[in-house]
Amino acid sequence: MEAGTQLERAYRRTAQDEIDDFVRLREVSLTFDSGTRALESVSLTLKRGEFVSVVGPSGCGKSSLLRLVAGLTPVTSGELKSRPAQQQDCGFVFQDPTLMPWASVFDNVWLPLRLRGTARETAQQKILPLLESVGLAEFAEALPAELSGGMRMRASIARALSAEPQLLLMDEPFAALDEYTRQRLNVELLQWWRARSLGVLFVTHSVSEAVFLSQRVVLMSSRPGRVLQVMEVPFAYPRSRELRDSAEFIALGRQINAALQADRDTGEGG
Amino acid sequence: MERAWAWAGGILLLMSWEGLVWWAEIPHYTLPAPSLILLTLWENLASLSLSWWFTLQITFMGLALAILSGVMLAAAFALSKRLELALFPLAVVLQVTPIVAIAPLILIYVDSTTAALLICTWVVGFFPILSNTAIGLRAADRNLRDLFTLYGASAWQRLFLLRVPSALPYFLAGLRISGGLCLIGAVTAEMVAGVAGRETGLASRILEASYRSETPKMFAALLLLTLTGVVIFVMFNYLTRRLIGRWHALEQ
Ligand SMILES: Nc1ncnc2c1ncn2[C@@H]1O[C@H](COP(=O)(O)OP(=O)(O)OP(=O)(O)O)[C@@H](O)[C@H]1O
Ligand SMILES: [Mg+2]
Repeated sequence: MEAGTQLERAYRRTAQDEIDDFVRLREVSLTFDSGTRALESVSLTLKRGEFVSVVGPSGCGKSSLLRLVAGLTPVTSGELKSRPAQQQDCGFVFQDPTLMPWASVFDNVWLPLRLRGTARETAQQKILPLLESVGLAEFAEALPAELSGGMRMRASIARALSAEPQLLLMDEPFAALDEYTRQRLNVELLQWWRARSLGVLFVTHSVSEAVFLSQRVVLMSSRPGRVLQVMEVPFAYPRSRELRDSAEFIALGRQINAALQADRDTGEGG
Repeated sequence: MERAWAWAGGILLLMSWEGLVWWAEIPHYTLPAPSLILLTLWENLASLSLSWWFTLQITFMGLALAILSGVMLAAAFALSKRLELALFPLAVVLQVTPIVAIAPLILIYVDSTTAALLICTWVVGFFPILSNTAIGLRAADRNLRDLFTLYGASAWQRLFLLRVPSALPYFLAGLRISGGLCLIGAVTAEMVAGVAGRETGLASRILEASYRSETPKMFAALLLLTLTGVVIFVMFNYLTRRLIGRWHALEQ
């Protein structure tokens, strides 16, 4: 299988990159000008090609964490190394699709390449197959207002993939979608991820989504956000929808929920 | 369907107006019937349409000046917060002072009546364009702005690919307000200027007719003004729909 060789290549590259870190946070804290302490002493590493999820209660600093890694916000203290941010090589998928409402799907997906000076004709060779792969080939000339919520999200993901970034940062990208669309896009996301060798840092509210998608799940405490625990997810890829019904999957989800709940209880007690 | 109701309402009003005038035998110098107004309009079409053309020119030239200066100043504000802090209050002062009160002054200071009329029209139409465009240029979605930062967009790319399109709906909203205001400004200034001068607009025809108690002619000129106002409104609404109707939810 072609996907298999690509995966092997991805793993080989991952092994290589273990030496020089891809994304590394060491004791990173973030305090806003308003005095809000969003993150406290967060340590985290991400290797090239790795899929890591972050779960935690609302307001614990997950979005802030992604913005730090993207280089959009500076850290207050601690050490942050983000090679993709240095090289302006991150894709960002926001909670809402954040498409330019005046531009067609094609023009939206073209944006990252356009900002780097790629002409429309040149970009076409990349973008048309990409739109094909996210199922939007027929909608290249449609405006975002003419798409369904799920289609807009796919356009947003296609835009993030179009510049072929080393790192994809996703901030609850599927939170606004219905459960069915969400699970289908989960499966598709894993296919897109496996077909490239890109790192993914994926923020979500949903424990089962985190377990289904990622190799590791980072659990964060309520504000100020700290790393409670990092869970390894042992399931092999490709993962199918049936995995969600397996006993191991449910047990791991329960374990994570329990850990998050324990934090909430101590937070309320103290 | 909704349009049919609007037509029905209008026709009913006109018919009761016509009926009332005939039934109560109201003299035409008090209240002319709609049919008489139309007849007067037809009989004076030559002189009225010349005046109409004059008012129209003042209105649209004033609007053009308002657009040009409003957009340029808004762009300058977008580039420099200090400039905005320094000049915006002045624009507000200009906006809140009633045009009827400034018009006599402008007529004193400016020799050419036509130029004075233009200035008055510009003063009235300028502010909505300026304030709307200035707000619009800052109104780009925060995440989109971050996205442009993420991909290292240049200042020009940011301006033309993000800020200008984001400002378009705001600018058009300002334009729709200004279009109507410029007509009001042109007519008001003309009223203040009086009937003097060769080149005169519809307001002068109204004043003239009022001195001679030609009420039907006043109504005929008024009808032309109202129609012009409606056409301006419809025109800019259409323009808005054409330009942003497909993507801007507020406009639907
Ligand atoms: N620009 C900002 N200025 C000041 N405070 C901020 C800013 N952005 C976020 N915060 C604060 O930092 C904390 C963390 O916010 P953040 O958006 O990162 O949380 P989150 O985990 O993404 O929450 P959610 O799951 O609800 O999206 C919140 O208390 C928020 O009020
Ligand atoms: Mg968030």
